[in-house]
Amino acid sequence: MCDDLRKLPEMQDTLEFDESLYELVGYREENTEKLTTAPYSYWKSVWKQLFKNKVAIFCIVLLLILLFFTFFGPLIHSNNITYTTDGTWIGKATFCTPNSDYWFGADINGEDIWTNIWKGAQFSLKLAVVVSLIDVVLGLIIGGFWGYIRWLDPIMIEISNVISNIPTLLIYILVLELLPKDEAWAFWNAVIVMTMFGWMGLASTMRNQIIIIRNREFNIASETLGSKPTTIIIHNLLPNLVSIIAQVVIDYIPATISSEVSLIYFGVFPVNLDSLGRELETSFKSQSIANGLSRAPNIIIFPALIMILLTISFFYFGLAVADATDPKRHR
Amino acid sequence: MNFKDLSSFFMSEKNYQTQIIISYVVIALIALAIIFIVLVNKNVIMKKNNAFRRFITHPLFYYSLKRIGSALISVFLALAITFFLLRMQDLEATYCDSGLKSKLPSIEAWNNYCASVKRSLGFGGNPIVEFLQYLYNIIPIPKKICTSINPTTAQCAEEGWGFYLMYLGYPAASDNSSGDIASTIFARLPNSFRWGALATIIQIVIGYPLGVLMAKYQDKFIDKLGKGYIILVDAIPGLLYYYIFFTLFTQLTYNHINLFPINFDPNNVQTWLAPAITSAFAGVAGIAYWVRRYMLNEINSDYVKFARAKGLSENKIMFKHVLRNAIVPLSRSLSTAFISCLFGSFFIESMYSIEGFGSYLTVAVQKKEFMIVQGVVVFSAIISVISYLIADIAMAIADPRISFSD
Repeated sequence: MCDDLRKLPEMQDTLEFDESLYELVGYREENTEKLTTAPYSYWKSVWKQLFKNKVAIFCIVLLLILLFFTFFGPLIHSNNITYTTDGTWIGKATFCTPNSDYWFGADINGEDIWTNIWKGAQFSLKLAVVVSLIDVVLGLIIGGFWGYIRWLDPIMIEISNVISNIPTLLIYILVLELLPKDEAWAFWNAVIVMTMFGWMGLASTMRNQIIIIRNREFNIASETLGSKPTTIIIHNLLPNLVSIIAQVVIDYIPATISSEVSLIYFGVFPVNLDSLGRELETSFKSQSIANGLSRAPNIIIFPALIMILLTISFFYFGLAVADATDPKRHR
Repeated sequence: MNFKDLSSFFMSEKNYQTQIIISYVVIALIALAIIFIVLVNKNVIMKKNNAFRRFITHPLFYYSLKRIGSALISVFLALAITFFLLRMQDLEATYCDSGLKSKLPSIEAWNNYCASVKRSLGFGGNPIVEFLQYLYNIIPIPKKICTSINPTTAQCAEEGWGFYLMYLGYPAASDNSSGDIASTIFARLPNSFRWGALATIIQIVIGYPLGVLMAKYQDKFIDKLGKGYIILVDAIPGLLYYYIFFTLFTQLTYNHINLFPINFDPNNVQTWLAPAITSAFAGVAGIAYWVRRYMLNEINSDYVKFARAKGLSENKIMFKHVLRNAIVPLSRSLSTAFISCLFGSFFIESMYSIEGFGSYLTVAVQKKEFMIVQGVVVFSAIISVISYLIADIAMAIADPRISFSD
């Protein structure tokens, strides 16, 4: 049953209509294409979203403070001198609680924990940043090809199956045995070993996302309407991928620190290498050797605390960036 | 003939010829059965529809067969990679006793001795031949293998012939001469399974209710608390909280609070608790995360709204209706949880000095015993393949809607 169009004017008469509430502004052609709301800008929305998240801002501030001490901490205060000014040896102070000489105390070898932590953090962060940059570049390139070229898919899946069947830590150790054991090489050895399979995670995420988005209606519509491949990549794929990539990229940093700690445990790096993992290992091993925890709990607490703060602030910052860069959450 | 007679028949050396014949017949039968199943599935033979054919062409059955096939390929490749990586290592320092260098009359004699030691352990010659030999050695059929080579004649020593079902070589260190690698791993596996199983139980008992509660009170206090816990576990390095737990339990034991003794004893369940809790701390977070996620997916579906409209209590909806549907993808996580307990155990087992699978690897790496490393790779690959297969089948049984036909 349809409405009878001829009856409509009669209905209009029955409605009560206060004309004084309205004003006729006329018709302007240039206004028809204008939007009264602010135009949508992807990156502006990202910033707005990010700075709404209070925990994320707290994490950024914490990160900045930690980074400041990582680079300037050993310069502000350093105490690894075992000789006094007139040349006499004053001996090593082991198992110190915090005091004015040793701000964070001294460990079982009589080394200043304050200096060791920040020097170790320098090495670990440098390693983490270099490894994640290489992993991200490799992961993006390989994942892009993996998602786009269909015949590559079964081969890459088989490769990832094989890698997941071997404990990767073992392969790291075996490859490290083959690399030069020079101390100067320690950093690059670690980089080589950790980037060997590190790209795998990002590449497979990229592949899955590309396959999902490629088959979404909006992309099919855009392809049907004749969008260029560059337009498809920049406007359809990338905004959806940025959020995932951002999270993976920032997660690589705590993950790299974590695998560095594991490798240190197996004793495959030179002994006198300063890193956060080494600092943790010496402090925790010393507590079981001499029951150091009851004598100087700060030996364990400070390295562990710095490690926890550093990794968690990176991790949470990654989550916040992933949320903010997701276009579905904007507005 | 009972089981004991049967096993002693296969484990003894006397019936060697019969065993060889039986094992080759079994292998041939398996090969024939596989060819037969593939042909039936491809509709080449036996087109009549009966119960037997329905069983053979059942998607789950055929899928498992295909999965085993592809799994064998990836185990093979994983093995090949580690085998050739190991061959590139400098093994002389580990396997040749350098103390003998001064005792032996000449450098040639030492080289000769070194070569024979390497040959007895299965390396030092043509790597491809040795790889094929290694593959033959790990196939579980009864075989006679030469384990020591006479340095003077370069032939197999008289007493060197050993009888093995599965042979992974011997460790180099003479103090470790209790047995070959395969039997050592078999002897050590039960210890790992003991505390690994306990860790899996703890994970499930705590992780599932936590996930359900987090989904039920979404964005409330308990959800935020749980999320914080998950982030904590994900972000900080695993080894760090292993250390923290170990320190905690050590301090408790030092202070004579014997709630979680740190000295592992296979016969005392209480001593399994410390490593199990250390390992389960991360696993609980993983299970809670996935339970919460699947529950939230299910909570918005129509059948939940209907159940609520019927007037069912919120707890009944959660634990009876929603959890049952959300549990399907999670039946997979059961075996993966167990596997990650075993594989994450490299550190935990050496911390708590458990004579298990993981600590065997740690010791091997530190002593550069690469034959042990390879044995561990073989075992871990086989265990992970079997557990993933079980996980897939468990998922299919839990949910009749899942089909594996392509």
